Amino acid sequence: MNVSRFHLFKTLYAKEWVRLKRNPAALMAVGLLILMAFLLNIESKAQQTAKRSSDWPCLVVFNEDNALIQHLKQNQHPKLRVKFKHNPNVNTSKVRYASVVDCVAEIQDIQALKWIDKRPQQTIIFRHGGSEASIKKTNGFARWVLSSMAAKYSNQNIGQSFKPLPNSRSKPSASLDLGNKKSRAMVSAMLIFSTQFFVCCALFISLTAHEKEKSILQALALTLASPRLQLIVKVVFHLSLSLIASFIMLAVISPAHLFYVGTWWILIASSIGLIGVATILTSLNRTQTSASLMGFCYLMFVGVVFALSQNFKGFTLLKVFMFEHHVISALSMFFNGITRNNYLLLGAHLLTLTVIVVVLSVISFVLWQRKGWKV
Amino acid sequence: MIKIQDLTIQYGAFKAVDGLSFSVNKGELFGFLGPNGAGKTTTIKCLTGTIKPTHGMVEVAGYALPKFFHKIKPLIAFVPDTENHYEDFSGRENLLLYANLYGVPHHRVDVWLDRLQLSEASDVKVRNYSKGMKKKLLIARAMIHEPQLVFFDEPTANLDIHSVKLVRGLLREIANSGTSVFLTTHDMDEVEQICDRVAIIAKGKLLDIDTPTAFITRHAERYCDVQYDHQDQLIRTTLHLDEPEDKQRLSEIVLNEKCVRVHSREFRFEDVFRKLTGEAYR
Repeated sequence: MNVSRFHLFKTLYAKEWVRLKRNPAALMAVGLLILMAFLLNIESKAQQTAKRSSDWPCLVVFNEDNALIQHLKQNQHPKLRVKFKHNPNVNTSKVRYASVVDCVAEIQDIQALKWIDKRPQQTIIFRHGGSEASIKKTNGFARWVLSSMAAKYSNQNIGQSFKPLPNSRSKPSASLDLGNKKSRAMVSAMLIFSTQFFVCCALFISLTAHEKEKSILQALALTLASPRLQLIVKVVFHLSLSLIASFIMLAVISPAHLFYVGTWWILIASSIGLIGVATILTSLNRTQTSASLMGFCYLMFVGVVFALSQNFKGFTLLKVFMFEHHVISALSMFFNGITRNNYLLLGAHLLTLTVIVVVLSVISFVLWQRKGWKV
Repeated sequence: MIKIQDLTIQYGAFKAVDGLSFSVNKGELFGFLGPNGAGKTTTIKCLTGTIKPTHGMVEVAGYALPKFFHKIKPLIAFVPDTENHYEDFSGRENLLLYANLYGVPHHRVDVWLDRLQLSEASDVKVRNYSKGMKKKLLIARAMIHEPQLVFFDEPTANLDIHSVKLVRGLLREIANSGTSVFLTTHDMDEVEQICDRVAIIAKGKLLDIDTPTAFITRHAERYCDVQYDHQDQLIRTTLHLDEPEDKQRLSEIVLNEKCVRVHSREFRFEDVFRKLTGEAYR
């Protein structure tokens, strides 16, 4: 009986594909994650558009072209572009603004309206777009208007208030600003890592632990395919699946990074690391249920360590020994844009990631050979 | 085909197999019997390369284990007691997978499907097979590469009487074709009917090894069930004819009492097994 290793490899690899094809739920889950990447992309583009709108000029809307307006026109803001607009209905709901406008000063000259006194002679309402950036921008704009006003009407009664624009989208302060490049980079990295976790860890455990529990792996080990070859096929299968999913995700999130060697290094190392974890968990558990449960616990553990490391030094140290931290950090750095300052840090992440993954792979291989394929 | 010398397999301090020695000849249908926990499965696991012996020598087809396991692999097959197929694959797909892994031509798949009466259901997913069909598929899978030695672990469990007849006939046929069959079963009738030689083990130790007929002859005990009328009362008793007292008692009953029924009890292989293993666990 003379069968080439390539023929055995091909047979086992095809078997894995057929098994996946017969379990469409697994493929649907990968599809859902890719859909999430699409949504992230759409959302971040929308927020980027909103962010670009902050480049629009600030508006000074007034009912009377008085000395203050003249003064403001003559002493332009050093950084912000300012446009002036006359509107007799200022400070009423009749004034409408375009959706891109996010910084307005409505100046109402009460004297010009010849109203009975006791009210402020000038009122100013500063209106912002609702976002953090817009509020910051309006604050700077307000300081400039108020300083001119103080110079011109120091003896007058002035009323001022700070309000959102009627069509602004106010947000809770804790929300994630996907328009922000750093946040977007972090979310993208997490999303890609989640997909890899699903394909290389959860799916690996599900498919392999099932074979182990039913002693199919033992039956296969009695054929010409050795347990080592079985593991190699599984690694190549899940790695290829993970890289296909990552390719689609990258194409959606940041197509430019498809051509970075560093990105692919991280993705391959991350996939192998996750497969290593899955192999260890499968080897240490007899049943599919317990192995899957351990996989879930592993995910929870990573999440808890990441969360606690924000406040506790001990967990920050523990995080350094976890390849997941290096994957997410390095990917975020890539998406955020590499500068000369963080080259060294990126190199350190890549090196540590590679070392941890190699160690994990050796441990998982030894465990697999000793007890991974046996019931 | 198999040569085992002083085989010992230990799990910590517990000896699952303790100094086992026997051999199996080519083309022999060898029964390997023992009560639950006697060490049968452990021995098979060792012979199929899943576990390593702690002590002793094991040789299969002239190759020492575990060193030359890779050379033994194409020569052996194992039919486990539990079905381990890919349930999402059809019967044919399962066999094709193994045919590819052994590099055997695909027409053998149809030959074995036909031989085990599975041709009609060959394209049905194994998930929808009955237990008996799954068992038959296991046998087809094991035989697809025409091994020289096949291990069968309770091959007729869960099969209907027709399938049992088919499988027993097949086992005999396999052995007659020159392939050695290593069979473990709890069905003593099966052993008596088809095995050439039998080894009985208990607590990891070999109790005895011989042909089923020789076992019965050597260990046979003669019993007689007697029913007689004594003072209008029907009495029933069993007498051990190898005991002088019981022998004398039977003569007295026949001479003095009104016998209703005298029936000699047939000593079967099951009784041999019970006797030997019972003594071991006493």
